Amino acid sequence: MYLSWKEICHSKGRFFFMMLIIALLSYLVFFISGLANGLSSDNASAIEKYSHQTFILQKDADQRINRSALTSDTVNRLRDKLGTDRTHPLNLLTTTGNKVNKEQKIDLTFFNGQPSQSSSVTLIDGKQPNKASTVDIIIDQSIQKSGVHLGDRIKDQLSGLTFRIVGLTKHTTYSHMPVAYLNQAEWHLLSKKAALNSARPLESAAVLTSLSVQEAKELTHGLPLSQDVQVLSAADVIKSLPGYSAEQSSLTMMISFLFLISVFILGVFFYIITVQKRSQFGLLKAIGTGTAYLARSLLFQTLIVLVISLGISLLLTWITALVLPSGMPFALSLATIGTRLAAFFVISMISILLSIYQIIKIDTLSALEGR
Amino acid sequence: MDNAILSFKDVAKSYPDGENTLDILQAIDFQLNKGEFIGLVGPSGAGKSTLLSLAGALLNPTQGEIYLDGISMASLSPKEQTALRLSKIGFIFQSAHLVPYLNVKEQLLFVAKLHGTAKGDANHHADELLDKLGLTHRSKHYPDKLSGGEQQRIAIARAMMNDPSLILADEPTASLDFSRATSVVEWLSHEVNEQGKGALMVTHDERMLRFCDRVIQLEDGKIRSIS
Ligand SMILES: Nc1ncnc2c1ncn2[C@@H]1O[C@H](COP(=O)(O)OP(=O)(O)O)[C@@H](O)[C@H]1O
Ligand SMILES: [Mg+2]
Repeated sequence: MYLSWKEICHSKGRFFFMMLIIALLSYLVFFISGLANGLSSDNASAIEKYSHQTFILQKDADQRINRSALTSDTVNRLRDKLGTDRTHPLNLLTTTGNKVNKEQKIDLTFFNGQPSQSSSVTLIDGKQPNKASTVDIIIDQSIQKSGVHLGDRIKDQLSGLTFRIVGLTKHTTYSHMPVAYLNQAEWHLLSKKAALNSARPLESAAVLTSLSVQEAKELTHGLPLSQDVQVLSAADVIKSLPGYSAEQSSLTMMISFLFLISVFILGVFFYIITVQKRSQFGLLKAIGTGTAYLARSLLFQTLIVLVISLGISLLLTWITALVLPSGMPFALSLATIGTRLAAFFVISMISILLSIYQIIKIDTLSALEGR
Repeated sequence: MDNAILSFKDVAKSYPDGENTLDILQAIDFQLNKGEFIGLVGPSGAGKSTLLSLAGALLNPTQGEIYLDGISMASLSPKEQTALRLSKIGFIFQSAHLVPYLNVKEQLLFVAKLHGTAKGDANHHADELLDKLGLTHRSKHYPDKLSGGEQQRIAIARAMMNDPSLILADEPTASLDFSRATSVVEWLSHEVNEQGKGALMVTHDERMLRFCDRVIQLEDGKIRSIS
């Protein structure tokens, strides 16, 4: 440890730049991961609430839940076949509303699932609406960005209905819009009014079942239906949400490239430095420094560099999360941070092992003579 | 026999060279006794450095045995050989090979630390060596700030730091001016004679031979004469 510490102190500049590069790289990884998670959650968190369920959509919808429209006949036949107790329709309506007495328009989506469904989302403020109420709703807290708060009333432009916000939920957005949960009575009212205005009945987007994709496929196979249907996992539905794959794949690609660059910097950098110090290691071995000592000192040095730079990048990430405007979708879970940190450590350990192998391999004499 | 620090018993060293073998050293047989300072001379390519590397267990002989303090060095594992170099051998190479990020004093303290010498003793010994080699005023400097001669003297001090029983020096005075070289070699030979160490020094400078108790002349990998 003595040697590695002395070297760091003596070559402060070199080590500072190395740490800076690693810190910035890992900061970028954290930042983009946060963005990817944030966007994913902003787009799909309401659908993720059904992640353990299997979706049945209209086949012509091409896996897109926003395009799927199942007639009530189809819904009934599917539920009869799969068992009404383990299925429920999911109704959703994307619409525009405005705060009562305000002009500003707000995009939002109404969700209506199983009666018990809305109670499984976590309230961060307010209370659950009365089951029989025809005006009380809970809505995602992101509506507050549009100046709508607890107790405010919003008017749906499609149906002309007015709802009162009695509770705010978290992680319940769909296609970057806040989701408002309606109970059966409210949905009934909404579908009647909206159908009146658009001259077509509101249809269900999907039938959800607790059966597995395989089971649901087998049971619905050959079922006489007036519409073709497709059985999908929640993950497939999420992937097909508008913009979801495009957002995620470009960010995932950036993260992969950053990791690739990190591999080069950490791996090749440390490796080359070791090769460059060949004659020094040769000398140290010649005067009686054991290989184990040299390996330990290399390990220690890499760990110091790593811990300091990752510490700095976590600090930067934390500051970033604090100063980001609240509208910016940014979400970093401890699990994500953990896996990214682990990846950096694994990359470094591999480079250390390569370097240690270099040290073991060094032939003292030829290293000294510069051969 | 009791008196021997280093003894070569019919040692040969050769390298494979395609189909043939390249004989670098042949039939090397001599003994270095306690308190003895031996000079090693010979033309370039005669095998002087190779002989020194064999003596320091940086190479293993192709044939024959080399004993250091009665221990056959070829029988030791690489790890044991490293430990042996640390505790019993002081190496001085043609170029100083200092560790670039340790200051002069730390170069010396580092080997003591590896050896496990108590801090106070090591400190004392390092100061003493630096004083003897006229480097006290340089003790906080890093190698890149020192002249070649100063670096070489530090390398010499480092070789002496662990109080080795055998000193192996490969042209240690090449980068020193005559008066400096004379005083350093004189000091080395004094240390060796006084403390019952043994030293083997390769040199091209005939004028240094007067400090040597004996001189081995090497030619074409064979000992031509010992005087
Ligand atoms: N690893 C090696 N492989 C082949 N030949 C070597 C090797 N090491 C040294 N030699 C050869 O051995 C001879 C003696 O080298 P050396 O001991 O360095 O001589 P000196 O120090 O007397 O000038 C030289 O001809 C050199 O080329
Ligand atoms: Mg030589």
